[in-house]
Amino acid sequence: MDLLPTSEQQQIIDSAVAYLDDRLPLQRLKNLFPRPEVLSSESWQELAGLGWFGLGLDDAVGGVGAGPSEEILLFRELGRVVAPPRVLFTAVAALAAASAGEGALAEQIASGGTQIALAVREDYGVGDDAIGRRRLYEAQGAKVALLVDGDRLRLLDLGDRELAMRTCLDTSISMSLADLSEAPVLCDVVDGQVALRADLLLAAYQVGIAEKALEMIVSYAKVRQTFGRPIGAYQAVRHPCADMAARAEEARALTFLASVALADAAPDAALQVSAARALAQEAALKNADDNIQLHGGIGVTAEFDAHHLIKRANVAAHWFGDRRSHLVRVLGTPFKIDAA
Amino acid sequence: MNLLETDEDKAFRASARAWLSENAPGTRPFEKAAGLAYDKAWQLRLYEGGWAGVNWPKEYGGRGLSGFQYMTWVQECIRAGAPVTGGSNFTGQFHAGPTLIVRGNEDQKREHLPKILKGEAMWCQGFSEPGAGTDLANLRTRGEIDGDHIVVNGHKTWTSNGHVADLQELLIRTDPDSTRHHGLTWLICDMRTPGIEVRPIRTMDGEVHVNDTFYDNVRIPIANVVGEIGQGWSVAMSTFAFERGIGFIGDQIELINMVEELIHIAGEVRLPSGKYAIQDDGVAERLGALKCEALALRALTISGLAYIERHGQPGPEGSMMKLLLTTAYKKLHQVASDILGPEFLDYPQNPRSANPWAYRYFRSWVLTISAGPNEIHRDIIADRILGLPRAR
Repeated sequence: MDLLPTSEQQQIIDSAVAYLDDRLPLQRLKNLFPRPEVLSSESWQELAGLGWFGLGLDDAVGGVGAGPSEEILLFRELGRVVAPPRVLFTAVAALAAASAGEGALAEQIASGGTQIALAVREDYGVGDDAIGRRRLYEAQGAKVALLVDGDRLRLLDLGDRELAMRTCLDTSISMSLADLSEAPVLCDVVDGQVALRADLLLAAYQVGIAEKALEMIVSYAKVRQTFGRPIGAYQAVRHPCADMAARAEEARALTFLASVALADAAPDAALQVSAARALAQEAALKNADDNIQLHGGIGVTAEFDAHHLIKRANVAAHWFGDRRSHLVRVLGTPFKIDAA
Repeated sequence: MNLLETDEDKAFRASARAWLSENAPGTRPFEKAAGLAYDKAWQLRLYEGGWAGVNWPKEYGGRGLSGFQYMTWVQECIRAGAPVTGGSNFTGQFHAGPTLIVRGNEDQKREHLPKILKGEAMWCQGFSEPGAGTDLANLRTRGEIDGDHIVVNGHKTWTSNGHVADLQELLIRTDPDSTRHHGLTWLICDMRTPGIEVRPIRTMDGEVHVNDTFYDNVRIPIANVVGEIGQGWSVAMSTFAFERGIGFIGDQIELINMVEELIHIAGEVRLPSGKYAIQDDGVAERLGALKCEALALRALTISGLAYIERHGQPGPEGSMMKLLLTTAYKKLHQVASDILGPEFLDYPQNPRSANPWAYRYFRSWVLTISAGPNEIHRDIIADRILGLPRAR
């Protein structure tokens, strides 16, 4: 047993960090505010060239052929810089297409040829997986929408459909509403493993947000002085920082473990992924919140980066499986510690 | 990253399970003398069966196995209903023994380690004082060198198992001009030495687990010094490193089992609303979140053991483990009080077995306070993991 990255896995982290520091640092959002972030097609092709849309995809359909334990390392780094979530939606869409037997579509998505939006149900109580009216994230410039309803994954052709644009509280994200009932279905598959993969990768992204919030306040607490001392010397600041560290660490450890369980197709994989997702979501929200509070006034300014973390943590909570459904699974799936 | 058990791991688990199925003892008796006899008998049986000191070095009577195999052993003990935390032998197994292995001389190891493994000598801790608990380096119990002895005078407190112990790990100030963590010495103290008085402290659960210990000209041979005179702080840190490394494995496994048990109970108990407790959104939210935390603590345990395998010693993450585990333990028992309703209030003569939820509810403060209160662990995280400016 070992839940620490291998040297090969560490290389994935190092190369992702190097690229993101250079091309997609968190600070980029400052200049953009309050407009949505739309990556140029050159940038998009660069990400495709790095293999990020097909990291966990089979190499027979244009993927890199790595597994969940490698993918989470990438998505954790993407969370740390509040990267465009379209990367996440696109990676999941490629997995869904491959699972549906649409190899050519999967290959096209992984190679950066098709950008993907996420379409989340807007009307409840009308059938669990009815298409109907949807809230779309990152639909601006996207040709295809990903729908994840429970274990069912679908890709719909958006064509030139008119979207009712909404301004998202996280202004970096483009958000819109549309009735997709008539949109052509490109693929439709029920695959619990891919649905779990979506939640796992999102959990990793949320862990990244939680860790970045901690990193931000720790570096500030070392230099910001009040009453003649750095604020990090006061227990009123250092103790909440310690709690943030513990919260991020437990979410990270469980996300790592869940990735291995999923890679091994372990009987408890669904339980571990749901628990990781629920915990990581809370860690992202709470750490991003504490980060602003402990910064004081500077924390609420648009000039400073802390607001991007809390906003993204809020929006990300609405993607893929919702917290209640994850907790229901966690409660309903007994864990046997000695089952091995 | 991987979670798979090797064939060797599986064979080890099978052999532990087989042995425990024939040898696991019944319930530990409540009464003091009977409890002590039970602990000694179980430890001797472990020794004779080759299961004492699973992760201790072979040359001192242990099995020399890895932290992961130790975790497997603990899982199997819990599965079989066998004790894992050592009872009266806790300090010997988890504090004094590991400290002697790392810092003791050959004579001390040969004399004491086999007795711990056979259950022949029970140990207690003599670190904290009335003015030196969280701030341990403030301790004042003093020792003066007189020929080949050290003469000890002072007062220790929170002496766990002091009322049943044969020996004590005793940390005293031997340099009268020293302050803080300088000039301290770690000693093996025979609890039957004249001049020692042990007075029990009754705790909120109605029981006696800890004591005050008074020293009036207690003569301890210099040969009982572990490490060097004046190096006691460094020796005590070895004690803590072990405690923070694998000392929580049993509690972590038990936490998951307790959470599962409470989820089960919540499906059978009705609230005043007439709904089963588990159907209540508030209860479900709290229980679900606790189970996520219990699973995360398992993941953290495995990460921590992997770290020890790679680096040979535990990382500073032990403080996070302590903080998260004890906080979750307390929350679990707060939820239990909501679910069980007035039944939670029954506190009969034998609360450990009759109302374990209330009994452990009281114990939850012991966990969040002992082995360094959680507040001090937050400081340790801030200092050693986050590198924040020092508070002191």
